[in-house]
Amino acid sequence: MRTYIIRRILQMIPVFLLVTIIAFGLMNIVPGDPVVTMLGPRAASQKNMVERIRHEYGLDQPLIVQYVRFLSGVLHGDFGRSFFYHQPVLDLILERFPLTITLAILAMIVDLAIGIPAGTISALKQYSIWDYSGMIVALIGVSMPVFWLALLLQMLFAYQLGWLPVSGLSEGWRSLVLPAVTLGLVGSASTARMTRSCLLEVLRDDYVRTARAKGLAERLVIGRHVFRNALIPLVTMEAIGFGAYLTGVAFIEIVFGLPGVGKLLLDATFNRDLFLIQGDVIFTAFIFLSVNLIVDILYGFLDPRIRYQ
Amino acid sequence: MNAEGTSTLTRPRESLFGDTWRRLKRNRLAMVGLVIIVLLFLIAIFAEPLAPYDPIKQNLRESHVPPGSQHLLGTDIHGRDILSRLIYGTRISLLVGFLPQFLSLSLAILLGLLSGYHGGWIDDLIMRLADAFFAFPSLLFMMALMFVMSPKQGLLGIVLGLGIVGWAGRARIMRGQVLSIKERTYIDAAEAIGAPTSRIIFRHVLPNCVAPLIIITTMAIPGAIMAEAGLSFIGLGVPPPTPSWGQMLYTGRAYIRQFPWLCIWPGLAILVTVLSFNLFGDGLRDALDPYLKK
Repeated sequence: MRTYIIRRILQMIPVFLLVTIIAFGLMNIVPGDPVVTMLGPRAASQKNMVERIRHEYGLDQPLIVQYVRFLSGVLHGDFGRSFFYHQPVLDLILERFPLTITLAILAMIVDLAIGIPAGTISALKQYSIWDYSGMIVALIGVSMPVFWLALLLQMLFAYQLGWLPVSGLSEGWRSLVLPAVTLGLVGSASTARMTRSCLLEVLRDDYVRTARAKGLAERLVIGRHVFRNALIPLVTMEAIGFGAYLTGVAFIEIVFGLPGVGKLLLDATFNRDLFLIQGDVIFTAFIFLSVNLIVDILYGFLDPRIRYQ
Repeated sequence: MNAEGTSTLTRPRESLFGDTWRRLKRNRLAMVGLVIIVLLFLIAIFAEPLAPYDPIKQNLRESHVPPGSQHLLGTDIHGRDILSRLIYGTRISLLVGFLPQFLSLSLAILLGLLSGYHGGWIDDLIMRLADAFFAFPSLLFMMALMFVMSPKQGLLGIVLGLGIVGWAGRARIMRGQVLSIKERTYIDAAEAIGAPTSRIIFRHVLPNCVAPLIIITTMAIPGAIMAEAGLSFIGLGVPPPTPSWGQMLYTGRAYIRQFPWLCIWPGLAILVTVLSFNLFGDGLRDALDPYLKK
């Protein structure tokens, strides 16, 4: 198990390097000066300031030198300084990250609490009315733009009924109900679909037939044989879906005016805060890679076969 | 085996598309999706004669007219007819749904083939690159890209960005296919009779990769439509005044309390469009891959 974990961590290194190259490259592909981009129309009139800032941020160095500096900074936990807030990028992100991750986890709970039972019922009662209606609702769910559902729920529960706050964080946990439920509902649609297809695949396997043939109670067939084996593809797909979650959280933060990482990134694009965007992109990619790593290690526990590959 | 199975020996050869279409026709939900998609294309093509008003020209005296006989779905703050803007918005949605796929597919086929057929360090490099692209939540990547593009190039940026974001998954599938096909005996046979590599690739390897690539590409279209809507919804997508559904939500949001219709119709349009592509995509997957569905 230990060698498996170490191997997975080592495999992450080149990927992370490529991530930094892509993020760095993305900000440098456009012809033109990043300082001029950041300053916007002001740049033309203030040549001296442009020069000074270029020098201050090391932008007058060759690209390769810039990249090496940037990379060594990232490795030391220095993501650069925000051009707009005049604060270290990492501090700005870490300040907002707890809210974002809380939202993502709350939404995940709502998602699994609805999606797994719904998908299970559909699979066990395949081609029944429950299956058909459940899957049609799920298909509408996966086609639902999360930002639109957020607007609709906000309209209904906050403006019309006044049950929950419209936006902001002023009302403590009540402020998180609508955002988490919105995101969880949309997520539960794909969870239900995945649960159904994973279970259906396992239900057709020979050992399930054997288990039934030997007279095992249906509850035990499902619990011991079907669920355990369906868990692996399900966990994989949920992990891949976590990237979509980070995207969804960003929309939710924007609609409900919550000061999370997604909102920070959006503000950064409007403030033309290049270094903050760059840092945010790398930070989020790193979180995503870490989630994948944790999931891979989890597999090792869930399925002994994977460890020895 | 049923009667149909025994007659396969005598029945004429059928192309992949003929065979798929026969199966697809029987799937009612997929057909509903297809009909809506065809309608959307017709709306996009005939937007000009269909739209009752100019979608861009402002008429401030008719600002925020509620839905009624004059304006079926109401007007926005600039007095522009919502229905007309929705009709023209179809064009943007279909454009961003389809155009990026050409870029993604070309990249995926090229890199996937190279990776699977060549193997070795090239394979390692390309696959790690795919992993790295997978690590970026696509919205984030797109937001950063939209930042570096100038706002006037909004649409071009979206098409390019979605095209670049989409290659990684497809390249992996392509590579997997190539790896498994490479081991088949018909490839050995082709090599044995001295077929050049190009013939093996174009005649034997590529045609056998078509089905999974079609499936994943069809599934990517609704994602691309949703991505454009999302970017436009946060003000980073298609620049005004060009009507796009996401952008209509973006501008309508500010008045959601007083004039809810501004936010209802564009969202519904996105939902129906994405849903129709999902319905069709699900059906196509089942039709192209009969082993999956028993």
